Amino acid sequence: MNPAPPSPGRSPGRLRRSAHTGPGAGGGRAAPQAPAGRARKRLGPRQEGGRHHLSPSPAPHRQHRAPSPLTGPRRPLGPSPRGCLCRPRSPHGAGPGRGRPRLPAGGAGWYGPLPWWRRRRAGGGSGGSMAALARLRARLPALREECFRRNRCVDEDRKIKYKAAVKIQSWFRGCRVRAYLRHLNKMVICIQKRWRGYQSRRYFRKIVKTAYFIMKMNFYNEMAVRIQKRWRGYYVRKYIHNYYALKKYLEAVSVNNEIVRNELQEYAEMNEKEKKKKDQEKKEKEKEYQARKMHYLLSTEQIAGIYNSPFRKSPDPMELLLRQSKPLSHRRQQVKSPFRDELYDWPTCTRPPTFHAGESLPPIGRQKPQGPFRDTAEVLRQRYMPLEPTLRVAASIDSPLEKARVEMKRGEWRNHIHDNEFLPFSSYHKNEKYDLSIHRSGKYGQETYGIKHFREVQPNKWVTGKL
Amino acid sequence: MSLLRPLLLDVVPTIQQTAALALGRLANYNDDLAEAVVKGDILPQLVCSLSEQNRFYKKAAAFVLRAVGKHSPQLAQAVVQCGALETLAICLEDFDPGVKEAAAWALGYIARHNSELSQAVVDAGAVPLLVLCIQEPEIALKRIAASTLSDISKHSPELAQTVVDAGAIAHLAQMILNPDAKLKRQVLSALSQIAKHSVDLAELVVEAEIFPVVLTCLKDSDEYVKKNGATLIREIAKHTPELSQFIVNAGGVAAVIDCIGSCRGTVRLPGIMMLGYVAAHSENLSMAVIVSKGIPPLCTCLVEEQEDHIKAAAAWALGQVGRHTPEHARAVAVANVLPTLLSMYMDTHSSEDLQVKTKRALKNILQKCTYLPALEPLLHDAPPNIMKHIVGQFSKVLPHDSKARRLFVTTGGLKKVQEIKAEPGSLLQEYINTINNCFPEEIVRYYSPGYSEILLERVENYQPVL
Repeated sequence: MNPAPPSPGRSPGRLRRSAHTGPGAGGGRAAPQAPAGRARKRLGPRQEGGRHHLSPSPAPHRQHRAPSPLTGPRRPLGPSPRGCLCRPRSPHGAGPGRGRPRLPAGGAGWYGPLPWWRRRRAGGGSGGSMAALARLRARLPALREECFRRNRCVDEDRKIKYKAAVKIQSWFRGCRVRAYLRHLNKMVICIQKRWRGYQSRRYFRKIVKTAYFIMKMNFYNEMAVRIQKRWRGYYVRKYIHNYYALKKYLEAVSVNNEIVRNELQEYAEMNEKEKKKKDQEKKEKEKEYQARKMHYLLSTEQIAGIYNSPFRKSPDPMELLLRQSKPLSHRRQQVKSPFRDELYDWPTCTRPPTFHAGESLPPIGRQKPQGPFRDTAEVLRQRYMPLEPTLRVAASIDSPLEKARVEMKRGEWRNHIHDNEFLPFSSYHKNEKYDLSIHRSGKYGQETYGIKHFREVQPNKWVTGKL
Repeated sequence: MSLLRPLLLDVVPTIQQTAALALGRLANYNDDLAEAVVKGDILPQLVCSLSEQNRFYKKAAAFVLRAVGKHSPQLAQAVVQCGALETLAICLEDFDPGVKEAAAWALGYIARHNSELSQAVVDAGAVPLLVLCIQEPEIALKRIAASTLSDISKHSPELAQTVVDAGAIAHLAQMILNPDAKLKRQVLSALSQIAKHSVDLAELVVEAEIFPVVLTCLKDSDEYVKKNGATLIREIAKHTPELSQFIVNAGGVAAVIDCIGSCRGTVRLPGIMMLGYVAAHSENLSMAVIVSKGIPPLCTCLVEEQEDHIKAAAAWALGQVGRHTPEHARAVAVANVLPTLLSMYMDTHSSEDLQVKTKRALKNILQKCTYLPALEPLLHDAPPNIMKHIVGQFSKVLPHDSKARRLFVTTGGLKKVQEIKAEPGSLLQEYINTINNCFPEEIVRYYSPGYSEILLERVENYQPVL
């Protein structure tokens, strides 16, 4: 009995579990355990003979298994060498004396289990069959032993070989997968390389565009700054801080000041002169009055007056004055008003206020004059009786209506303050255009004094905090 | 009082009038008596009979009201509460000018105290009547009416606006030309009280074409006319630079400067303040003040005047003139006024206001002053906070001017600077270092204090080589 050689022509990398059970062969084979989650390692060579262990448990007949969740769909790589020869389980024999699959006699090579119809039937002819059977039965344990031993070797070999095959296959698969991954990697790198290059070039183009734009803008700004610099310098120097205009203005101010000072000086002098003149006139008037009063001091032909002393060369000016003046008559002498030193002067009242004397008192202690005179009080009353004009006299020629009209007109004229009565006071005339005054218009036209700028309000320039 | 009261109700009018006059004189003398008059319930009686009686009684009654109302706001309030204002306003319409004058005077004294009383007077409708009174020919009436308008408008912008709305400005402006001095005083005072409140009112006053006529008032022989004229110009100038510009163009600055030069005492004060305001607005205006020869009168004011507040005003004005640019500061410094300011600042007798103002003026001028000969004398006496600015200015000028450096050494400035003790790291120390770096080391060492001792020590320790 040869150990079953691995059948050639097995497709690489794929161990196929072929479930074969010879007649009663199921017991010998134990299904190798499938590791979870991996490709199932299958038993390599299909073993017809031999069993792993002595237990008579029948090997489960494994048909084409449905894909289990652990293994996934099985991929058949290449046809199995002999197909899966599934045979129905032969009815088991008795326990230990199970029939074992018979190998064909020709030991040239075992290519696989024979189909059932080629197997030689156990047992010889009918005659010597009993003796043969006894012989065979006598040989049975040794055969068993031998078979077991061979199987065990083969099994051990098989294990090693299986592990080796597993290792080889796994390594090979690993290589394949790695090669595949490398390939994928390369592809992916290629794609990404192209794509990134494309993106970066796009981005670069954008950057270049912006940089160019910024450069242009900087340049424009520079140029604009230069223009603005020149313009602002010019403008400020010409209009805002115009040095020469300021100088001229200050000179004009000094000239104007001179003029104003001269004029004011003249005005002051004129006032002085007037005051002096007035004082002088007053003095002269005083003197004249004195001269008129003391006219009697005038010198005569015979007697020289006080002011005309004979030892003088020429008469005193007072003397001359006396000669000129007219003597003062006593009739219209000015009475010193008793109210002149009042608390408040009333220049409007030239006469002192005379309180209305209701009736003058009668003379004191006068004896009644003799005669048919009337009573003094009566006479006085009649003399000073107030006027009681008749209605005709009291009423004027004009009708009362006329008088009332005239009175109203006068009243309006007197009380007239505003020309535009029906318009509000303060804000109306703000819209009026300003009429030029004669003061302000110079000889050659209107003089400017910045009148347009009056109404501008610049609070930050104000010195005081008041609005 | 109890004796006089029944006399007021006497049949004979003369007695009534004389009694009223007596009451008026009593109340005029003393405010206790005025209070007694009020407490004696006399005022309602007067007010009632005021409307019926003749003009002498009216005058006397108005005199009583004025005498009572002039002492204090409470008494004036009592007068108002009797309903006197309406009656006085009716009196303002009377034909007799004396009555009008008495009524206007009484209203003026009442309105003088505070703005509520002024408002009450205005509410009685007195303002248009007063404006009419101003146009009357009698001078005394004009005076009193102007003074009343001035008292009314001084309290608040609204009251001033009411006065303006009644058309007072035009009439007041016309009366500036009047030769009577007292009238001019009142008119100028009224215009300045109107103009002081706001820019609009000031512009209205200016538009009434008071310039350049107002400048003639500054040459008047009466001191108070000058003072009020200067006050008016000051109130106009202080609002905006444009108004100040206008005044400068009209020659107002020159007139005010002359006015300051010719007066003495508090009369000068508004003129000084006016110059300060004009110079404060802008540097061109300040230069105009300098060009109009404004600095010498200000210096004389500073030196001559006795009163601290006038000195403070002069110091402030000088500070405003000199603070703009180095040109301005130079003009002020050349007038040799900085030592005066410094001495005033250091003087212990000066009031606090004066000290503050001189210090600020000094600071402002010194920060722009590059005229070193004027800064020299200040080095010797200045206190540390002023010294900082002086030394700072030296440190700015000396690095660039070699002649100035030479002068600095020869006048003893370098020596003084070495003697200054400053905390290391302070601004003063930095300035001193900058100055020291302008000079060669030997000279700095030569002038440092204690150098002679160091030299002598070296002499002592020297071993002569024989």
